[in-house]
Amino acid sequence: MKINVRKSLCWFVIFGILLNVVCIFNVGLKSSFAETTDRYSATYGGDAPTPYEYTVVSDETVNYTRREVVTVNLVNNAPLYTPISGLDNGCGSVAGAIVIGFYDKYYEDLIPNYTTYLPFNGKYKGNDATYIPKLMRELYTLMRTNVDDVGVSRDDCLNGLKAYVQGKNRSLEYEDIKNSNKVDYNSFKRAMNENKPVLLFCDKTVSYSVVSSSNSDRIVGAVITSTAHIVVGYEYYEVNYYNGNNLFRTDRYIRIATGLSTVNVHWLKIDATDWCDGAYAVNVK
Amino acid sequence: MSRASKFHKLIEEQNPEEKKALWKRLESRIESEREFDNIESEGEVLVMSRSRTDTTRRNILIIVAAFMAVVLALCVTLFVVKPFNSNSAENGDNKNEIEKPDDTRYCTVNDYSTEISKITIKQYAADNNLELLYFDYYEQSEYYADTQYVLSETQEVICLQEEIYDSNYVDINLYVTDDRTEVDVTKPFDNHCIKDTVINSVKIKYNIEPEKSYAKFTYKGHRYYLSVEDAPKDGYILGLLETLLN
Repeated sequence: MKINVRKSLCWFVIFGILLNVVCIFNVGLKSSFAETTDRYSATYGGDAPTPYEYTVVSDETVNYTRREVVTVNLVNNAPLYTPISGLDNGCGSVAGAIVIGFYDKYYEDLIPNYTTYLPFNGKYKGNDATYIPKLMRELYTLMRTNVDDVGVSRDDCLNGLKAYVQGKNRSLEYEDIKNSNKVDYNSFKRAMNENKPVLLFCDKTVSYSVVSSSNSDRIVGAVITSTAHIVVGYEYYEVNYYNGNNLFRTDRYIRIATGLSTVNVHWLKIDATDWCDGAYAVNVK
Repeated sequence: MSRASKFHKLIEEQNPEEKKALWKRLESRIESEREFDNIESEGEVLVMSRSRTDTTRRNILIIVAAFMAVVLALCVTLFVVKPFNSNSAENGDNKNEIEKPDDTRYCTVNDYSTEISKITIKQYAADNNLELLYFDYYEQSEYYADTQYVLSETQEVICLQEEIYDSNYVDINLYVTDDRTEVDVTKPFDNHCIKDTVINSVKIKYNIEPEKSYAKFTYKGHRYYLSVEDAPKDGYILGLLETLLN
């Protein structure tokens, strides 16, 4: 039996290359960034995957002899409200409620007859059974959620929140702190120093958990929402890693109130350029 | 007519001189392709003779090896490029798992609703004749709040969550489920609880981190997940566990 080896080898190599290209392309499509969209709709149930479904995109361990943490945060951070049932695609209303709940401490007429914080330590309470759900429902309507399309647009979210505050005879201003394709971290730090929460419009939400043990941090990054999402940033968190006196790595994060019931606190990488559609420091007075 | 016969006939049909030359060439070719293993020497040059069968075998091996190389490259590509699923990543790490019965049910935010409740864990245990652990700080605590996780399909309460401040104003969060239920809200404990200890014969997984400490364990048919913030010192959570398990 005569076999043309050269020809067969050539065909195999071509076949192998094509197969690998197809696989890379296919996987690349699945793990590629979400289509840029101006609708934000991570929801209670529904589109928000659970930790059982999170896609881990990075998992690394950083070993060090010393770590230094620099934080700049809002006074007493922010309320960690979670969604309520019946408000599908309502991430805008949850994020808005977090901002209102934060400012209610300073302007108690924003949520009449309700105190959002604990008097003995100033920390914010979580959801209650009455006032926070009522606030979320009102914001849901003001933001025109699910009216034109699924979820809420950025403009509707910002306008709806502003309308609520103005309805309580207060004023609200936004400061855009996005710098080309990411959050400007100096502006973010300044917002924290000025005690202004930051609304973050995320094309996708890759959030990080940092598990510390002696001399090592395990940093796991996972996609926590399958759709574009709105969160509230309340802390600038910087970790500097040293070996001896040598600073070999600096990680910068924004600690966020996710507005999700499954994991209500997480970190976004401030230097990543693939998630931020918009960042607005909110000033209510 | 067979191919050999046709060939034979073709030679026979040539003129005698050509026929003789053809036969001679044919015989010499057959001679050179005959099977033998030893090296022939042709003057100064040593030539390794190969049989036709050896050549065929070698070609087949080359092709098979090439195919295996392609398959291997494909496997490597898939392994490197495709993000691995968090479930498979975590399932491979048995050290972080509480021992689970085989009929463990996993409940996610799609399966349940959360309800703010006025019923404490203590009250719930009494109402349902259950032996549950809880921090009995209700009288002196500045603040406590309870949430029930209710399965939408059956209205079964699958998880109790209680946030309570102790006398040192330490923020304590306790989740309780039965030992065949895992609720997604407790999943972060799997990442954080990386150390082991034993308190009153109960195996505990825990970790003490700069801002928050975590612990989880199983006790008398229920799973407990404990987190603590604003603790005045490292190891505070271990003291709380001793209180809980005594």
